[in-house]
Amino acid sequence: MDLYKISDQTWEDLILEKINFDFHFLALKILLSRLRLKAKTNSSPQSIRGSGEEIKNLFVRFKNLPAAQRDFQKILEYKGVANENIV
Amino acid sequence: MKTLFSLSEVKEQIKKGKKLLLAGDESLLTQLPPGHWIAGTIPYFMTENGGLTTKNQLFVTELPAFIGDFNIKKYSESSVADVYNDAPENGFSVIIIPASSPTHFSFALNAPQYDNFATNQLIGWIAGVHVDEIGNKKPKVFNGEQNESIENGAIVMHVELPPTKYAELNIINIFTQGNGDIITFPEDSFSATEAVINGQTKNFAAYLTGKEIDTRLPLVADYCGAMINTSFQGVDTKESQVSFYAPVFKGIQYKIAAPVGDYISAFTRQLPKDESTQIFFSCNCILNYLYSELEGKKTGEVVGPITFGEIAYQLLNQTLAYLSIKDNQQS
Repeated sequence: MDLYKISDQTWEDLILEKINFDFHFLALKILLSRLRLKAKTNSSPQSIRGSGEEIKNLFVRFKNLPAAQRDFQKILEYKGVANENIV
Repeated sequence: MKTLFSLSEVKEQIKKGKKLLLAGDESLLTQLPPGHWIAGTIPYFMTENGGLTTKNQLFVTELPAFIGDFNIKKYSESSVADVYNDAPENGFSVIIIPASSPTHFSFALNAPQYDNFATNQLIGWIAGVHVDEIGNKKPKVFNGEQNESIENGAIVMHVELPPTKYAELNIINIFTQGNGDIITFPEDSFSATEAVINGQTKNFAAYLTGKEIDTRLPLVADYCGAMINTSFQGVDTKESQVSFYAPVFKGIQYKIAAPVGDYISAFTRQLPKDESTQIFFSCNCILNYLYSELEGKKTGEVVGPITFGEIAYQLLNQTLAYLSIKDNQQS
């Protein structure tokens, strides 16, 4: 799971509900819901960026879990998501 | 596999140095010697033979021999906010909190704001008492290493796994959102006077009674596909107060759950195939036990204490939480 394949903007788009999937990983479902709720009350770029970092860090933390890997792959395969500046 | 043991059998296991997660009546737990165990009070269990109420035996979950380091830690109402920071990088933590204690309410309301929330596998349960003793007897949690019990606070066993293993936390919730009204609440709370129903503020108790809502069905919120329940504790139309077993949260959209026919069938359908042999620990809700009359009935091969609240990262209601330990294919 190469986290750098996904751009910071994509993590933020997840928070802003511009990207949606049927996720498998329970921690992701719960944390993402919380961060999306937070985004509705504080949509400042700084707050959204911080929330995107939290989701990214969740994948870092659980990179060995198959459910997290499946969800990561879904995000990666989403059209236009790959961070082409880095990959 | 045998899950219920006599007091003397558990004493022997402790003396052998086994690392144990225990559940049972206070009268038995207070007789145990010091050792590597934590426990909470409860007389309800899902055993290998089905649901059972007993004060004469203890439910035992033994940690596997392959675990790495582990430690038992007591938290206060405020320090429990560090529970995610203290968890091992590869492993899991089991938390037990006494029902109706300040720590119970604090954890329920604030866990999603804790530092590093959901970044470690935190499973656990809310300790309780026999329903006939509610109000007369206080639930307790025990730290076996210190030989102490507390009525407020949390006892946590943090367990590290070797690189060859990983822990996976999941839930089984037979409830889904019904097709009724969208309900939101003005604040995070264990009770509500008013709720916003399809955009209109209404007296929530009057709404529930007026629509003859079956309050054995929980409120269900959709957390990106995870159905998260909040169960009704009571509806007081005189005081215009509705109370819950877990908090409702401002901004979350709830619906009353769709009715469920047969709990066992619905549960079994949701149980992942081949998962049961890898489940290390699970707990199910006292409301599922009572409302679905699980005494004497089996929920597949899944066993564990029946609790006053389940914890999978945060407090849940009317849900089965389970933790599996699996082989890491990448190591």
